[in-house]
Amino acid sequence: MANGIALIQAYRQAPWRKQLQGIGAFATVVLSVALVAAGYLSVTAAAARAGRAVQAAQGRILRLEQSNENLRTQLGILTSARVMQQRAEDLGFVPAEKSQLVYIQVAGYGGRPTAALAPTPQTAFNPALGLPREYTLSLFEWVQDTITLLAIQTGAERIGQP
Amino acid sequence: MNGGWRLSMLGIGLGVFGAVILGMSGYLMFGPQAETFREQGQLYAMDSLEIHPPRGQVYDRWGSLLAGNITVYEIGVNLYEVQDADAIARAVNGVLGADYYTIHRRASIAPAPDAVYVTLANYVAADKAQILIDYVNAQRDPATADPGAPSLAGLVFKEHLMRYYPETNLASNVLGFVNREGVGYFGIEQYYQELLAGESQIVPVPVDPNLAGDLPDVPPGASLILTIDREIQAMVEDVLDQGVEFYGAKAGTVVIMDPQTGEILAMASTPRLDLNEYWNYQEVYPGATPFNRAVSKSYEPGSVFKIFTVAAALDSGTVTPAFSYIDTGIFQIGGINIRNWNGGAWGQQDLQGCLQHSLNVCMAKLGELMTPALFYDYLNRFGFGRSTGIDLAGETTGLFRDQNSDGWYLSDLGTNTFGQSISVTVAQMLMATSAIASDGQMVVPHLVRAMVDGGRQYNFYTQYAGQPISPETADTLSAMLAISLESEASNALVPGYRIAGKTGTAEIPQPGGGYNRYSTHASFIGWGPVDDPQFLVYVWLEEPSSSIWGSETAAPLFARIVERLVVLMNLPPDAVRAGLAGP
Repeated sequence: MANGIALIQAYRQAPWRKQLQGIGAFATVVLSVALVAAGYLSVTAAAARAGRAVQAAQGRILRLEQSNENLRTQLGILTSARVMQQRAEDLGFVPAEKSQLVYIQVAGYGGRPTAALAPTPQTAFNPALGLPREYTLSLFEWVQDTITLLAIQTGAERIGQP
Repeated sequence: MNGGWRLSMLGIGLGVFGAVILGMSGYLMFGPQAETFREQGQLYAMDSLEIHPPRGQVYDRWGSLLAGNITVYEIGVNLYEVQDADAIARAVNGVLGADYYTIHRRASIAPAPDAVYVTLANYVAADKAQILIDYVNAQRDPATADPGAPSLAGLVFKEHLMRYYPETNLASNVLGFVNREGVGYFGIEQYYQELLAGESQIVPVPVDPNLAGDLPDVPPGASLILTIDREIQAMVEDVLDQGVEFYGAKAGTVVIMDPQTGEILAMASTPRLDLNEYWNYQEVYPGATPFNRAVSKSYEPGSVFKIFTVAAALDSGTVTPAFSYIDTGIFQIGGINIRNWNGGAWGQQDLQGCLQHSLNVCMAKLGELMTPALFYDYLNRFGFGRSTGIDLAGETTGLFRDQNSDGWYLSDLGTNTFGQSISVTVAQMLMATSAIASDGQMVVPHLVRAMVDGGRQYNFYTQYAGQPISPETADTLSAMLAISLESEASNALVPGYRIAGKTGTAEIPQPGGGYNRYSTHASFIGWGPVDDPQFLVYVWLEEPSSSIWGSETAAPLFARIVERLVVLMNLPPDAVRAGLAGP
């Protein structure tokens, strides 16, 4: 009761103080909302920019793949049988006759290898075989290995004792 | 105090406005039409992207590109951006040669929601498209833009891939071609269509960049490494074309195969098509002209077929190499008279003489001795009447009737023994002959050596199609055929290399029955070196006019091919090879 009387008394003496408190509280809420909105907008804009960059990069990948295909074929055109033959003729080469050939035996030469454009499944890199064990070790396996190693070392020391 | 009611009214007004907005939002989100709105929103939320994986390449055995992909352009207009349709029509007409009025009409279409983009030209070569691209870019660049120049605004360039064959018509009979819809026709392109094409995918792409994610990995089509040797193929086509012209033949076919593995090193037939201009197909192959005669056309082979009759007779034990008979020049079987190629009687003959002089009478006699059941059993074992399984589209099986078939007569046994009344393909002849050349083991002819897919190369290995005859029979017959060529001083001989082979001259059956004696199929099949065969060559000339005989046309053409083949294969002469092999 005494508090209520004190509040009414305070309002009568300085009404602006209470109004200021109300405005302050409202402004705080508005500012908080504005901050959250600004943060959200900033993050959204950054995500949108990244999304656009991803889309652009994907488009670039497709174009580069096409370009690779195109360049590979251009290389094929430049090294086609007819072009190479013409180039050889321009350089003064003529096809070898059977009688002009001299055959020699070269130890270890197995003949011209045929095209190998990719590794075979057998020779392909196998991560399980190629990576050192440290890279594939789980924590449990590391603890187990360490204990085993310590046990071996301790045992060896005991055996080595006179 | 006087302004208080105004503020109150403003507050109430704004409050009502806000409430209406909230209410409408709620209505849109939860009202009866909410689902429809959501569906419509979804329609515009996603765009679709069709990803066509690049078609797999085709290489020769050494890795030279035979079929690849090249960048071409689709040129169109964005109708909303067109400023000067006349300028666009003039430019496209000038650079591409496209019809001015067609281009002008298309570029002048009034833009509308359902008329935004119009294609003006497609599959435009990159160099031509680049001229237009450079012009448009120069107009856009403030530094180079000429305000008075006609505007090409609205032109749109979309690049995509198109099949391209760097070797134009080299090995065209083997490769086949791909149309603009990406469908393979003939040869390797058709046979391996699914492998080469890969799988196109339509991928939904969100318009909202916040939702942008990784595009799915669309793997390219598998690439193929052929058994073909580009240099040998070029040589064979060159020599074949010369041979067809020199001997006045209507068409020709030459195939070279490794008899131990079945790998086709070269396969050429006439005519050939520039695969980059496949739309000329009807012009190059009028009527029913086969795209690849080696697999798609069967014919009565004539005397080259005698090697299978002798192989069957020897292998079955019906005769031995010491077999002899008196050739009277005529032999009656099934009510018809079989005569020799020259109509003459050859007197005392042995099996070697039968092959050397290519005696029809001898073959018919062997056929009768074997009985139809045994003879046709051997032909079945050699694979006649069936597809060889060669990996090329359009393989035919020819005409093969045995004693159990409708329309078979005993006389057919007589004629079949020397390659008449039976039709075969070159692919069948190669497969069957591989057994004789290579210790009785018959190999399936094939053109793909390896496939590259997903970053791995999968090599294909030799496929055996059975052992129709024993190694002893194969060796005996090879030796007899080699002696035959040497004794006859055949035109097929190549100095330094021991070759086994057989000529064939087959009269061509007429539609009304009977044979035309002056119109023949001239053939030669040969392999070498006899002790370690590295090549098996089949030559077939259709209706040569300079001579009807295979010995005077196909045999010398075989020799010309082998003389150059041994150089390209680095194959030393027999004597040198024996010396290199050491003691």
